[in-house]
Amino acid sequence: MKSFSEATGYLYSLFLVAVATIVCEFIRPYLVPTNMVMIYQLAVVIAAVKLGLRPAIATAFSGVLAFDFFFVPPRLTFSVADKEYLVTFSGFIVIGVIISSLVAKVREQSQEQARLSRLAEQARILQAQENLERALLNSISHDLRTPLVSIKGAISALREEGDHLSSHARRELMETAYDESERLNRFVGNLLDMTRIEAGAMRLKIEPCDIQELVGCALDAMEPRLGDRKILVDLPPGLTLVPLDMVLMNQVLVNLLDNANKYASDKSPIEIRASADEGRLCIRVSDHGPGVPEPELARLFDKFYRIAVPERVGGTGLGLSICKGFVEAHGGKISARNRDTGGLTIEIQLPLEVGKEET
Amino acid sequence: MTAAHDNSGQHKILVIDDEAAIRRFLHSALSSEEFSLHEAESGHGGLSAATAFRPDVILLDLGLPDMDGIDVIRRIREWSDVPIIVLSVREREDDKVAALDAGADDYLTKPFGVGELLARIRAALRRSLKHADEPVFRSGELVVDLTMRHVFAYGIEIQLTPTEYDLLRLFITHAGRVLTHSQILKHIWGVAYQDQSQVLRVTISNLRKKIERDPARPKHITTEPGVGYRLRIQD
Repeated sequence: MKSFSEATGYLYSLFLVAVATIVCEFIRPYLVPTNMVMIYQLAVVIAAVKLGLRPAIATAFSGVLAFDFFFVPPRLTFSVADKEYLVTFSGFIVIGVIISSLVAKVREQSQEQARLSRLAEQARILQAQENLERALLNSISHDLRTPLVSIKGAISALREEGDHLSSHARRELMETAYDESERLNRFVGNLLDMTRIEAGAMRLKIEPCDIQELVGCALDAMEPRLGDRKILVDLPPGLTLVPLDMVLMNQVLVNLLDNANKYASDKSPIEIRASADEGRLCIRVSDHGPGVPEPELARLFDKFYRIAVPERVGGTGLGLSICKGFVEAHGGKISARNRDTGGLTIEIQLPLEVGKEET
Repeated sequence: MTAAHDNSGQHKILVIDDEAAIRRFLHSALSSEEFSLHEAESGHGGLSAATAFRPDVILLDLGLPDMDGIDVIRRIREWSDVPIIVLSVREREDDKVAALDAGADDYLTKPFGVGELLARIRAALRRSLKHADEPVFRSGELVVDLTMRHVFAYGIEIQLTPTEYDLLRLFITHAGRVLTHSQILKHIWGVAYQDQSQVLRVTISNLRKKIERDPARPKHITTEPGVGYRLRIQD
């Protein structure tokens, strides 16, 4: 990589010689002219490091001329009284050229090395991206295909063998197809939510909302999945209208409830608590499930992250990252912690004044 | 509407949807002794079918290739009161509200089950058939005597404020159907309050505290997020 054009390089070399000459002029009373060569040699080294081979050689030659003209007696002429100076001149030139070519070689090598390591770094990043994309694609195609496999299998059994099946078997097949189509629909919904977050194209519709209504709505949507699981709702009576986007926050609560419902043991209750203080609304959804190993807590909201769990739990790994996206779109925060008594608490914090800024 | 259904006793349903697979599924699911089905695959086709076929209910997909579904609703509303049920996907809450405010009666979120579809169609038919309004409304544990203005929940008489009662009565006259915020606000508080959704939310919250067993999990007045409210009919 060349940082200067050739001409600029030569201009800088003349400048270096001029500087060396001025320095020598200042120290002239204290030094014999031979030692001044050191100053010019320094200029050559600087030129070699900063400007490259040819400007450095040019520095050496113009340095000799300047040295001869200004300092070698008789001064201010190019003639040389003491012929021994000719040895000094040729020594200076030879050393200058050697230094220049050595430095140039080192420079070239280090540039090559930098280029190689840049290439290696690029390749590494590309590889990592490819791995991530492959993992996402695998995950998506797995989640899309698994329900389709069951649906197609069940429907084709009914279509081709329906007459020979017992009514119980037919019922089972239909239930399977129905449940799996629900799962597929949820996954497609999740993918669309995620796409909206990633595209950064979310327009919030902030309205004053009743928290009790929000919770009721999410519980209503979850009803078929919750079965007869106990839900404990604790909302302070003073809490009335909170500015938020009802559709998005409803989805957040549904996802949190769905998560708790999947990971907690069958009969244990899920708790929903809300409180408001210091200009923030805090909603907590807690379960009595196995919780999450401490080191993995931070990764819980990552896209496609799933904790190692029994096979029956079929999550998409998108639910919590969608929650994070939607909560952050509100200017809020979401966090997870293990409960002392066992189980997981997910806490959402929303600013209460958001409604005043957005319409 | 005088001739709500033809001599065979079947209700006529017009499906306007450009997806052949969806028309096929609706055809199998709805063709029965109760319903006869007519299909149109575009907005213009739907408009002419609505004139020629005189349906009792229209199922309208909002994403038509040739014209905006909202315009189809407006054009039909210029001359007909026929109930229109809109079919739309989850992410398009604003479209649903626009369709309802343009005169649609209800909506169904795709994908939907036949149970939901039949419930919506029957609720829509109930309105258009203008059953001699029952003086007493019953749904689960909620009983409202509309002549005496008495409200009972879980066997206990409930005292409602005049506004709460008006709101409940509005829901009862639209039982099973969705009402948008602005429709309710216009009806109960007047046009000036159309954007004052806080008033509505507070009144709904108070009404629920009085008529719901668990106001945190309402069974009568349910919320349709981003759209409005619905009084669910229970057996």
